[in-house]
Amino acid sequence: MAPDEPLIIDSGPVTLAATFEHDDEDQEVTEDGSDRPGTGQ
Amino acid sequence: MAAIVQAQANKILDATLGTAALTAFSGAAKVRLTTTAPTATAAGTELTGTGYTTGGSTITFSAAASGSTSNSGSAIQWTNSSGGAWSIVGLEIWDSAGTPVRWWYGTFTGQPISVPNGAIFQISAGAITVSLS
Repeated sequence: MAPDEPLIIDSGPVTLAATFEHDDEDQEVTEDGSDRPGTGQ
Repeated sequence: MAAIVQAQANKILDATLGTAALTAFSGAAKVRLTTTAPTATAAGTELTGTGYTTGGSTITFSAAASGSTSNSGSAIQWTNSSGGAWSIVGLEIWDSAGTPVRWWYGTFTGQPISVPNGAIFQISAGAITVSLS
């Protein structure tokens, strides 16, 4: 009789995701660095 | 979810904004197993015990494409011969510099993973996906 095989425990999938987060909508910035006011205001 | 060590993220930012040259990854990549959760600023507690090599095991990755890559080659295995169970929480990717540098970190799904004495813990090829976007 063959000896028992050792138990193998698999790590399963691992995701290492680094994200440089950003807003979904680009925000306009004026030349002096200030935020541009919205056009409807 | 953060996955890159904060100090290394800073290096990438500096290198891609003309602030400083990138300090490159040195030598082979090593994967370390931890018994506590690593963070962006602090390494986890590395696993100890017979069957585990302190400093980690060599791991290889395919060249990145579309902002992502995964480990290649054969499964990496550790046989627990310590006499007691291992409790594994996370992993870290380190380089092989004279003083090794930690670059990436994460935790396993369902951690802590208990590995009884005599059992094998393995990371299969393709199990670790690393992405940057």
